Amino acid sequence: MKLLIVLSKPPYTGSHTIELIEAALVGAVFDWQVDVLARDAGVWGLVKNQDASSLGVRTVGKVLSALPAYDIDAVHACAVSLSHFELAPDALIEGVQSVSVDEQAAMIARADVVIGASA
Amino acid sequence: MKFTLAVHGAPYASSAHQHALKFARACGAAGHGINRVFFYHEAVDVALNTRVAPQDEIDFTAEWQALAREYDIELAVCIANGIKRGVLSGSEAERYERNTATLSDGFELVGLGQLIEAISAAERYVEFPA
Repeated sequence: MKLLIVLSKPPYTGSHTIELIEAALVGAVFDWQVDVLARDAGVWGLVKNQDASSLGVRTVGKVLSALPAYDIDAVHACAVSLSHFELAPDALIEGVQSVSVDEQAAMIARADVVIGASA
Repeated sequence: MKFTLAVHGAPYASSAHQHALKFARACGAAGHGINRVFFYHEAVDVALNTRVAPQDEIDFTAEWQALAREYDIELAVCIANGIKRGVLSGSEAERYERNTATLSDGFELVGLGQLIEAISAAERYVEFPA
């Protein structure tokens, strides 16, 4: 099964982002092929050198950086959203792949299940 | 056709429960099956037994309980999302040394694996966002 997790909310507004990443991890534990796509304000979770310790929550960037350990190899980011927020590739954590809107449509079409798509 | 539903939105801060309940009833009326409704994020609030709906407003908790009885549907609350929002079964209340259980009858606290498992067994997964 192919699972696509879509992160579209700001990383530290509520706990949606971390909770969706948890769903990605459980999907990987079940040997599903998991892709993660950050779009809209969700791309802020990809900024490197984040430290959320003062907020009393887990640091989203660090959790996303650890995904390869769970066989989730690539985190994808919406190119339009990155451009909108003026986030250059060197501002992001390692391993982020920028994807066009058409590529996102293809990712959604390839997935058996999409979680978080319209949150 | 077999469906798995996931509700993500809070009962009163979104239309997620209203839409999900209507969808679930339409599924039942059309002869489709729902193997599990999974409550995630703020949607878990619906499982609190401390909620009192105003007389002239829909009681989402009671609606889900009635639907589950009518169509034999599992009402599954994400345990990680639930306990941090105060939804505690008897065993979780005991584990975390709280005075009372707050999980409504008919709902169950389960792990995220139960969502993955339900999706695997279903033909369609439908999500109701915040």
